[in-house]
Amino acid sequence: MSLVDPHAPTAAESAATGAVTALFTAHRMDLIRLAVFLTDDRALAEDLVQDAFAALHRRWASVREPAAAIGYLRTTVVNGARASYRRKALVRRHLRVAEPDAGPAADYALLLSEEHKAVIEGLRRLPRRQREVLVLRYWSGMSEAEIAATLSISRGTVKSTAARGLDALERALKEDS
Amino acid sequence: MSTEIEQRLTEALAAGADAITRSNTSEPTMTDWQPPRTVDRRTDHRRRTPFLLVAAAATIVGAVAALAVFVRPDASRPAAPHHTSTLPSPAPSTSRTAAPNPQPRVVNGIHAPTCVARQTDPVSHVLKQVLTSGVGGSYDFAGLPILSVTTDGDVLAGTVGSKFNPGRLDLIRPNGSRTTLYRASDVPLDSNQNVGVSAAQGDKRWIVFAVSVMQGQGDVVRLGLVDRRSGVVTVFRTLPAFSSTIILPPVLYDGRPYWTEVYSAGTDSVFTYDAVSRRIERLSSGSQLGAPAAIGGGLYWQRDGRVVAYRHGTLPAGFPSSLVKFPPLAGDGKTTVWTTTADPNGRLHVLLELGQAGMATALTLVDSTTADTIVPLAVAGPYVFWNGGTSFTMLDTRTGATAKVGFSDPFSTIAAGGGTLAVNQIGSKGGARLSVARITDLPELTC
Repeated sequence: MSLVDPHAPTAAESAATGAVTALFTAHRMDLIRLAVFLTDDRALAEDLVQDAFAALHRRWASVREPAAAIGYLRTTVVNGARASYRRKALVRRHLRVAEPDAGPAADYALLLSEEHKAVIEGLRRLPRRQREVLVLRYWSGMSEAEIAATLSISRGTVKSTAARGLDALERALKEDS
Repeated sequence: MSTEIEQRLTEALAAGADAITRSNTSEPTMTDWQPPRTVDRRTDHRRRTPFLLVAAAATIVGAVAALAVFVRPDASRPAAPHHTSTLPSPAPSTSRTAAPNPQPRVVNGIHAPTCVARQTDPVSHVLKQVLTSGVGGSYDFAGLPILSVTTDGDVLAGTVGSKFNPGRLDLIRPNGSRTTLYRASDVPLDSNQNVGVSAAQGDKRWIVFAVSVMQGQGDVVRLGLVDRRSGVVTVFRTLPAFSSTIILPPVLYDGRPYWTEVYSAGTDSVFTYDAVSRRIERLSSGSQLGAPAAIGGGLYWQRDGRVVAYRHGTLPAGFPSSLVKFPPLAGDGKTTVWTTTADPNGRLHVLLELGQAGMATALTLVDSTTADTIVPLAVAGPYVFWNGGTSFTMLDTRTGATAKVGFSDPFSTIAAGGGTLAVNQIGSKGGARLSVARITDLPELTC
């Protein structure tokens, strides 16, 4: 009598796991950095990236072009950051308990120069859309077309949002200096 | 050609990314990725280390997030790799490894859910009644969430406000009269920051509260005490906003506030404040201290994953005693309900348990394998209320009958104390309606 483990992964599941493992090894840290820039919260960023990879693994069978997977992951992280932003806004309006255990790591600020700290702080104060566009453009190095696809907006909107974001950031830095 | 601001931004983001890499979290130790069968997401973010990816169903993620900490013996330790071929190790865990069934349905005359009550939404029914009876009431206090109900039945509610209209702590009596006890106008704020009262507990004489500044996430920056006899408010602990010290929500026990402070250096402390001598006393220090909790007439906190009794009461039979932090719980001093997990045969069960002094075993009220969120909300006389993820449920422990409470917004709340039931219903546009009723007005649920 042969024993069959009903929970043993199928060949397709093994292939998905292998592919996602490779993506995880290559891109996890960059995605966490992207999520931190969008949320200011390392712990939340790790959650978002984890969820993104988990979602990708579930949907791997429907991914036609594996090279597009990193775009899918970025979009999932951005959408997750937006959802967390909305949730935080709601929590702030109807605060029930303190959420004291999140935020940037305690030594994060210590590792930045004053100049860089000022720019990052200025970026944090920008409206969400402007912040997303600038982070994707100047951190992730994405083209206008890629940003447009990730954020589901037109290329023109990407261009104008980036310009307005840079203007606002420049003004904020001048006011602070 | 890039402009100067583009160059500055690019450099700052590169430096920021580098700082994120070097800041106080570690890289995952694994070199491979495999989807485990259960979600393992820690809730202790303050010393968070990266945890491994999970590919459990998305519906499980939120529900188990709050519970998964139970199966971790030490949240400060890097997560160990999981493998699909073996389940996550449940060792030093209080989650059950044996099948939870069969369970007794009645213990010491207390009934677990056995049937659906004939009454439909008795809470809403009673709340409608009190509008005309003059006992209790329903008030449109937009954005005024309940924090708790004092031991003599008054409702404590807190608001969040801006620099120009700071948040406050209000006391609302069952007749609807409202008194502002504290306004957070002494907290220095930037124009884009909010401040509010985020936690409060009270007895007949004292009310302890926590003030949080919010910009992204909330940081407790003040702890205060209200003397209800004199109306004097004393802010006895002050932190600068975005300090690296974290204050966990305080509790009021035997007329004194108790709280835990978490320091980035790694040693935490539990304190109490004596309003007579106006002194803060350090009660305990350690590397892993949890927030104090009043359970069964005693005061407990967790240290290095074990329960420490500061004042002995009676921990209910079956109450988890070796967790990193206490599970979500609610109680009235006599009865405690809490959530826990069991993983017989690798299948995750989320349990809602009830315990009292004198009970040999805990009574399982809910045993869910659908990984719905179960959050204990209140114990009010013979009634137990919990949030089952998609609906609020009330149980009459005299009969075992359950009824759905007709609202399920995740930010709606139910709290009880001193014979008062308070319900905060969040409307679709964000408005809040606070309703107050006497528990004695609630009907006995029958099947």
